[in-house]
Amino acid sequence: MNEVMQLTTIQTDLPERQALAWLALAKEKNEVTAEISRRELACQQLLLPEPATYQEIDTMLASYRKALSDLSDYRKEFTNKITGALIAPQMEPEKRLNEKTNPRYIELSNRSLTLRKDEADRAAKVNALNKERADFKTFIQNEHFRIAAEYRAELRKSITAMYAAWLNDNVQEPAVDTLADLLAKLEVPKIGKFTPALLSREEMIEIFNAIPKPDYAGILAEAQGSVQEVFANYTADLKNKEAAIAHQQQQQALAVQAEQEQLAQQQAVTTLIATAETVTIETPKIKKTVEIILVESEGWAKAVMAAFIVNLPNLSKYIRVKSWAKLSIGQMADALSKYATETGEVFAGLEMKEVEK
Amino acid sequence: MTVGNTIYYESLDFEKYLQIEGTSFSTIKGFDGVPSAGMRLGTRVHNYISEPEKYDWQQAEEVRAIASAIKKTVAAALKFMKKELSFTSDFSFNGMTMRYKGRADGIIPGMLCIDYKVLSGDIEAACDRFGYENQVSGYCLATGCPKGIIVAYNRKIKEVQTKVITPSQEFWNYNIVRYGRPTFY
Repeated sequence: MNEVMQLTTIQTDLPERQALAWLALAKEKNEVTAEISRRELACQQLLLPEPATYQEIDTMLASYRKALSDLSDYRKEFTNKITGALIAPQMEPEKRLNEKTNPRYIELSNRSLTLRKDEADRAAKVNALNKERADFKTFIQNEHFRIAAEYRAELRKSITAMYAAWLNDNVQEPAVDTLADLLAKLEVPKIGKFTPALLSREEMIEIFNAIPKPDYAGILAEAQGSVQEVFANYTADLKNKEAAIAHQQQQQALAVQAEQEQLAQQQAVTTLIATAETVTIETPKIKKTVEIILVESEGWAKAVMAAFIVNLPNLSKYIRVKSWAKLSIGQMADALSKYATETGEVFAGLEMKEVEK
Repeated sequence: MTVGNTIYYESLDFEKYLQIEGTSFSTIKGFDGVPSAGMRLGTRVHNYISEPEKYDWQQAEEVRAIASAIKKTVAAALKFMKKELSFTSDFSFNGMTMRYKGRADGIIPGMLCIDYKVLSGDIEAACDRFGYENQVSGYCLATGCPKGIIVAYNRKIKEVQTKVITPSQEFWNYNIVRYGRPTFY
């Protein structure tokens, strides 16, 4: 009574019945502990005598096992009470709240996944449109570079061709003035075709108009201006036609080559800048994993073990066990699932499913 | 701000570049300490891309993956770039002149320069924190490039992010006055 009084005095907020129950438990614990200690000593005593025969030894060992088993049963009588009355009820909330079984958690998780997927779809569409916009802009810019280069090359080629033709025909006084008109009749190469998947016609026109076009008139004027320079030595070149034509063609080839290199550089830089400028919306994360589908069969277990052994050299980072002796088939399947998630590996005899989270 | 007397130093080792007289972005930022693990990774990626003979083959798996991602982004422009090109310029502003020096990871003088970064997070956050736009602006101003690009590998999302820089003089004007000398000297 004194003990109870003391306890209730200290723990004033505990109801008396509960205080008494805890006290009773404490008393029982002390009794059980004392009894267990006594039985432990008794157990050890059983092995102390020096037996003479194996029969005596086996009898001693059997008595020892029986005493140990009785000790265990006695201890469980007490600890099971604690497990059942104290530990198990305390763990119940965790079981009820477990994210894999709590219906509300599952519902919200699924809803989040659906919303993230919707958002990812929307972002993917916007990103695809932005990319096509950038691609079209790059295409137009690069086409302008290409057309300007080809136009220059064509003009140069025409001048060289006329130069060679007049030299070959021994034309003493070439009609150089008419060459400017001939050059003017050369058509500017056509722009290539871009097939849009998402861009509207209106937006394409807007982008097209916003990009400065090459100065074709300037290119033509430059070529026309170069005619006099090319024909400056015509009279002298008539005396050595073949060498003059070869020289002129060589000059033209060098110019075209330089222009092609410049074109490739411009196009590469334009493409890089356009790629770098493309606005990309970040998409919500959807974690995708692969899991081995569990089948409660011997064949499934064998397939898991076989796949585990075959892939063991690659699985070390996925295996987390304290004791290899206790590695279960379920743990093997988990390790294989993680490996498959990372590498896309498939295993004979095992079905997989993709899980999105 | 005016820029003049730009000199390019082809095939110059980084150690020799450090000895050139001039104020670089790093000088101004004043980093002086032991490189972090992230910085060492960045150096390895730089070496692997631009000076492979200097790469020590540490962290090879990650270094090669990052380098591949960066090269894929730069794509065809890479072959036209001069790699690890050093240069100096005289930056002048408000009667002061500062000898600037820089070393771009990739550059086509007069057209475009690029700078590789290996970041632990987002490119915008890193630019806000470290002022990388000013670094690339310095390269552009010195070399007459109308654009610069930061090509950054974000280790968090394992993707390359890019930022196009139109050079700004503001940071450099301030530092010309701070670190420069009177122009008439």
